[in-house]
Amino acid sequence: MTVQSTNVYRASWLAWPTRLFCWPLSVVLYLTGLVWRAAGALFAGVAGVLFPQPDPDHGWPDGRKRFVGFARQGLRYLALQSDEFPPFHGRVRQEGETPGPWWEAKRRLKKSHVALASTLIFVLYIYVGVMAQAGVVAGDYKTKTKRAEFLSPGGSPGEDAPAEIQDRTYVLGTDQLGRDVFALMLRGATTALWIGLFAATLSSLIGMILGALAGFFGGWIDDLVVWGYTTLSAIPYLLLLIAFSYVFKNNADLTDWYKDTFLFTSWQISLGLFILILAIGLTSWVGTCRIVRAEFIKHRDRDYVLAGRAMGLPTRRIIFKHVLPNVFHMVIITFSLLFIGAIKSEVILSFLGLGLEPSEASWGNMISKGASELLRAETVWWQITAATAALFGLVLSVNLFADSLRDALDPRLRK
Amino acid sequence: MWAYVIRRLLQAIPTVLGVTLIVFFLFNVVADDPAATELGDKATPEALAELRRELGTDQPLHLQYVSFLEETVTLDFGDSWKNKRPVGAMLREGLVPSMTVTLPAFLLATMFAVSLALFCAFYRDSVADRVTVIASVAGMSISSLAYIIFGQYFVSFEWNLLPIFGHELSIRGFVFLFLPWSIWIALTVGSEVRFFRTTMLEEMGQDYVRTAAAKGLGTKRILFKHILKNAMIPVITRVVITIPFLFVGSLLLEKFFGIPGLGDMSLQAILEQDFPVIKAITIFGALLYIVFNLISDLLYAVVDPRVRLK
Repeated sequence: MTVQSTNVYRASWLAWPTRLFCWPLSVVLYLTGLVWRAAGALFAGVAGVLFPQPDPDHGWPDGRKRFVGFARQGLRYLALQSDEFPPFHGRVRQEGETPGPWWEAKRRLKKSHVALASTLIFVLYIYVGVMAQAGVVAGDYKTKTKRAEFLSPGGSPGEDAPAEIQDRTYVLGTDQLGRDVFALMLRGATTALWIGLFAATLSSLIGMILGALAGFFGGWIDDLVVWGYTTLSAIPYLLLLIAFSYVFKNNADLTDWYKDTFLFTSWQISLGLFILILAIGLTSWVGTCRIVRAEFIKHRDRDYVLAGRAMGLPTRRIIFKHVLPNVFHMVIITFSLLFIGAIKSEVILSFLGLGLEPSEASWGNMISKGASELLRAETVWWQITAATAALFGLVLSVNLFADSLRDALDPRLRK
Repeated sequence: MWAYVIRRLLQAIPTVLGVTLIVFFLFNVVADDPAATELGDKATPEALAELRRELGTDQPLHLQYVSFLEETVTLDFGDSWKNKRPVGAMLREGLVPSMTVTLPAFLLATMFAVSLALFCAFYRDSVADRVTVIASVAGMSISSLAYIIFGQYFVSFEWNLLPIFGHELSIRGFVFLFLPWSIWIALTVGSEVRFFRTTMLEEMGQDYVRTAAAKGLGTKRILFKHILKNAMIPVITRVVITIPFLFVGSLLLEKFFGIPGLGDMSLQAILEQDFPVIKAITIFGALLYIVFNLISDLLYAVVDPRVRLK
């Protein structure tokens, strides 16, 4: 039996010299190709995560699968196993696979104009906060200028001020020490965001973990946790908060210990800020704990939990990987409310002298200083107005976002 | 029912114990030595020891806690460390001014919020409803200090309509209270309206409303006889749960308006480390909280026959 082979490549006599001559070039080309592919994959990865595109046939894949699908395809592409460029949309949902509640929530959230607007405002605050922390804007908020005290908005210091600031205009005027109120306001955003972020994270974590344990296990753990939060809620909240911050502020051991931690030395989170965060975080977890506990009680006898138990999964895994994701939307909503509450508490505590040092830039300090400035012979209204307006914008945007989030995540509204 | 009440009151014992533990831990364990705070840096060791013996803080912690428990059980917290007066008398004196601020303001705010919420729920998605909802979110987003400061500034200082500061337990004292009441209403009405509106909307979606409409009942009758009655259940619960915090007073309003109530007193007590006053106020607040929680649960069972006390 003979095989008729017509397309067999027959090396011409030039083949070997060509190969010998060209191998450096082909190595270079090969390596360039690899680098090119790697760059492309990296770009596509970043772009796919930052600006995810929907797949025309299947809509949005859910977040985590997008990562996995992208990474797998990207690795195959890098290893020259596939010529298919990693798709922007990542892994495509299979036939019959449902999109999942988070996908639904995201879709609903995207439709809401209120959510879009409030997110934009919030992102603006974050941008300002990061920039002020980095010192790009409002870097001179601490600079005190003699002979430039209580300048009204748009004012410039006169002839007798130091030469370098004579021509400077202060958009929102200056305070009693000659500091730029606009810079103080911008820097106050950093402080507010730190407080909101850390305090809400701390209390959400406490509430979530305690609520999960209490609701899942029941028994004496439940009794203990319920006892804990009943006790805390029996004391008026503001009184509790004031007591905690006063006591922490005057505890020398705590303040000495804190000054050696990396939060103080490298992150430059001041002592007053830390005490505020600690006091707010330790007192405001009750609501989250209640909600998470109630949800866990609902979920702990569901079939999927029983199945997980029957399969012999560790309890830790059932709680945190199976039940918690089903409850987590509640935590997100309460987180945003805690965020607001923490920022508003800072104002009250700073006014009572239990918050940040008076030299630090915070909206609470500005408002409490502004209270007495209003009653001067020539009313100094700009400092308190600036701080109130800045606080209002941030709290309003988070409030509105929390509302749209609740609408988006509320299962009763789902079709 | 009595068995339920007795069981609930027994369950209150651990809560009161918890409150004593928190207060004790905060002020006797974590906080600075009150004697050192009182006498300052230049105090001699003898004077410090003397004051500590007088205040009882030289005792070991467990003995201090036992005496705190004794005080809690007898409800006799001794004399205030600062002005050397019996704490019980101070509480009785502070209670009335606090309640002249909070109680009328709270009643007005609740009535206003309930009617506004009913209006919004009835005309839902209309312009008026949207404006109310947006205004209440905006109102909730303003710092409470800003309300007080700007209110005092404009009404009392700039326009000179009402006195800025003071308190009087007579019919003329009304002028001092008008501004705190208004500020309280402005502060609380936003969240109340939103909560009540959600409650009413939920009630309006119920089957019995449709049945009543199908029977041919008029709108007014459905609204006030059926929906409002049912919606009152969460309203009453919320109102009753808030009442204990009214007795303790509004800390910020009392501080700003110079009202000699319990809120201002507790703030001063914390800042001056006046332990007997702090202990008395927290225990008093906790007891009220427990009693009114119980009352709210009982009321819940009374107004809603589906609820069984267990």
